[in-house]
Amino acid sequence: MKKWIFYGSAFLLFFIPAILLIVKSFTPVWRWGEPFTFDWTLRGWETFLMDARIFDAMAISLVIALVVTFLNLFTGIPAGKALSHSEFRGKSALEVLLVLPLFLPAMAAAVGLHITMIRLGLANNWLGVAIVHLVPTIPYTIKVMKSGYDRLNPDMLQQGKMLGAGGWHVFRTIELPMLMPSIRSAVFLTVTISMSQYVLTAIIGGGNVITLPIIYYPFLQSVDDTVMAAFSVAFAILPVLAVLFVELVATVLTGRFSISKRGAL
Amino acid sequence: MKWYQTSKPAVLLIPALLFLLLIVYSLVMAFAESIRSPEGWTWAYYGELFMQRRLIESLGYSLSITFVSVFLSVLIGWAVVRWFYSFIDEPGGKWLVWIPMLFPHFVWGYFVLLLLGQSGLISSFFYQAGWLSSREAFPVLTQDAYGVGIIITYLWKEIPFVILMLLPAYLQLPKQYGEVIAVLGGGRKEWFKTVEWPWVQPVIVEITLILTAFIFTAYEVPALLGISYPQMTAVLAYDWFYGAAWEERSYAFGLLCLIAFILGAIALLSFALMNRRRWLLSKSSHQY
Amino acid sequence: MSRPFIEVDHVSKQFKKNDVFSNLSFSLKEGEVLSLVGPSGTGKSTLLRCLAGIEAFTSGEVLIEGNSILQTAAKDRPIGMVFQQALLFPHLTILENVTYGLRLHTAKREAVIEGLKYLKLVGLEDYKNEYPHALSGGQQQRVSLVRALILKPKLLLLDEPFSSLDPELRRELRGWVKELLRKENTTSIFVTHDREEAMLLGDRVAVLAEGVIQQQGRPKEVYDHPVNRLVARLYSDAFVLDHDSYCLTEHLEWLSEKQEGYECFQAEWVNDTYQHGQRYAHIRLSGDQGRYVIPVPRDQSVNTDQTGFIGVPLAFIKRFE
Repeated sequence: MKKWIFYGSAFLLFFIPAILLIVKSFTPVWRWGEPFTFDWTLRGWETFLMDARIFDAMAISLVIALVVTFLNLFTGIPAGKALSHSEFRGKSALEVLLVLPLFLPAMAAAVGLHITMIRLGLANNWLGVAIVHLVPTIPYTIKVMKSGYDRLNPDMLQQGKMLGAGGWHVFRTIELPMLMPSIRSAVFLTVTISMSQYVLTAIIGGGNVITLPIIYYPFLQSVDDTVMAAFSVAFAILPVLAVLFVELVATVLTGRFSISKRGAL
Repeated sequence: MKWYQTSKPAVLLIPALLFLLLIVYSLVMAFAESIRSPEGWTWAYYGELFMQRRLIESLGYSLSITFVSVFLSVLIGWAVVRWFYSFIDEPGGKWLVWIPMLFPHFVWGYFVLLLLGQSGLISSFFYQAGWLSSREAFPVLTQDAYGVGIIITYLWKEIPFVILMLLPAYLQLPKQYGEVIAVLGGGRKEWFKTVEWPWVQPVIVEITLILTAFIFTAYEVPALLGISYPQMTAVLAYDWFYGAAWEERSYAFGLLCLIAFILGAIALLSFALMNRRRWLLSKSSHQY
Repeated sequence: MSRPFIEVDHVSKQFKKNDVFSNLSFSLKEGEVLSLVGPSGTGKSTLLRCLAGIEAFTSGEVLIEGNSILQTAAKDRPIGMVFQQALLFPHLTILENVTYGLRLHTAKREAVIEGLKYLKLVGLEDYKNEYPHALSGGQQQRVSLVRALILKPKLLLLDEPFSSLDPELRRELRGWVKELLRKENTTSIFVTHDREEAMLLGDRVAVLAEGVIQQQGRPKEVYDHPVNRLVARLYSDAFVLDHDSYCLTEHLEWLSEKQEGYECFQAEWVNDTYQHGQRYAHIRLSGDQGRYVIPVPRDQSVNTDQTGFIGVPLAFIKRFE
């Protein structure tokens, strides 16, 4: 009974909206008061994919998201390890400071960085946008990676080293595979958050870095629900693609790719 | 690669410390901008800030929307986790809850507009079904004076967030203490008081702080679903930031710094207050 | 004669259609300590959890002073329990932990007075305002015991309370617990897989194996007269000759050749050890039929790996009954 209440309402409130958006992206514009028609059409997706501006925006959004993801992992994995597996003075204070940006307005950081970015030539530049996207993402990644390391017994890493493996080898063959669930969540969060930034991108990008969110707003004026629905669904597809990409990189890194190939021979 | 060959925490923390430096630097710069005038340093803009009628109206509007959204999200999300956490942990349940997390806030805002707007799908459906005489007979739920559309969007997006943040805390509750309490003569009330609340409270405080900071200062949703007056603080700050006059830019910096200062102080204070108990809980002798 | 204080009558527990234990019956007199000994995984813990009310018996009856308790919820049963881990509430002080159960029914002042009295009894009154993490494992387990005792339960269940402590501490603590239980005249069931502990703490022992109580009685009685192979192996030190007969290992001898008056079994001398001045030979029966430790005279000269015989004196062969 309880189970049905949960699945029923989660289905209705979380799954149906996504389905509705997908359906809407394949149906013609429904005018108010006229019957909903289901003459399936690809027009929404065609308009969306054929628009050169959108295509460029998608490319730049993906580049930014991937750079942000890389910098997040580069920061979050070692920081998570240090915060979880070692003891030092001021650790709990540092832990609080590192998540503190989540409790502050990200816009304050963005406007504060604006002038410096101009001086460094990073304003109106995708790299500057990627840097400012670190503000709302890195605290999450550090949190996720720390709890990932909390579940990983330090003795196990020590064991790898006792058997003669180097630090990088231990990381590749033991830590990375065991941390994969955490990395997956971190990547997912990072890409989704990066894809959701309108105001940070607008301030630092200054209208020159056109990401998907930046052109989403003007498109809203078009009142073409079919195209808007396709546009909306694309936002959810991109994080999934990014996770698949990271999964691929991890597979190559951990060497499981080559092992499975050898197994096939 | 080299950073990984040593396990010294200092080395591992270098990128994180650089990030922290970036944050501190950005806040200091924003603050510097807020007290800089063409004639030199001044506190005047902070004084003038509170004479702005636009701001006063905006603060009341923003605070009430933030309070309602945060309160309801946390309450509903918490209740859902308490009652259903065993199902949410199943792969199917987790995926369902993840769906709204995938969409940016403004996309979900658009969806709310599409669904609940006066010309939206529900209104259209009701009209076709003959339950509605005209478009205007449908209640104004989006771009309304009370921010109902904004609140609906936030609830829809944040309840899954609350659920996903609280879920691990509930899965890791030390159930053995439930047995101890039972043999000592305690019931559900004692379980809540002695175990559930102490263990879950830090997470709830953290979620509340995150959501408050986010909703109070986010631009995307109110820009889409709000009205032109009053505006939520972030929309106002954004307008001021691009304003023509020097003072307006300074107001934007001042306002954001002030919010950052207040939210930061609240967050640090709560962490300081919770720190001791958190530490004690981490010393628990139970095993999962 | 009056009824026993605690009566456990034909209780059974099934889990997923498998018997964990079935038809266990035993009783306790007031103030008596029963040691329940047996290999791990035989449902000793489950039995305690069912008695405490954390789990439910599949069938059977439990009476305390003649009244059934099985319809009563765990929190209302007059039964206390100490777990393997101390499980002190980490965010409450020692005094708050000790008085936790009392505070549910008594005013704070009285609870504190009572709590301090008990803490004094166990020599931990100096720690009353400390948090559990500041105490050693043994101290924590003492607090946990007091937390249960202060409620004056009619029956106290101890589920291997020393198993997470190191051997030195165990030895120290078990004598202390025995004394405390006697002082408080607490009727208790003490579960362990360590037979030394079982002998030391129990006024009686019951050997639980394969889901049934194989034998119960006074510690020495069970040790000297095991009723079957299982008890002989788990609790006693006996050489089992066949299904029907055994001989306590204290009577065995190491023979280099077969002799009259002995039943002889070919065996190999593995090595020897000394304990409290007594020499013990570690013997392996030929064909890997098992290992035995038998006392041997200090001056008997034997080479390692020498083959010989375990001699069972005919006079000491007894039958299981």
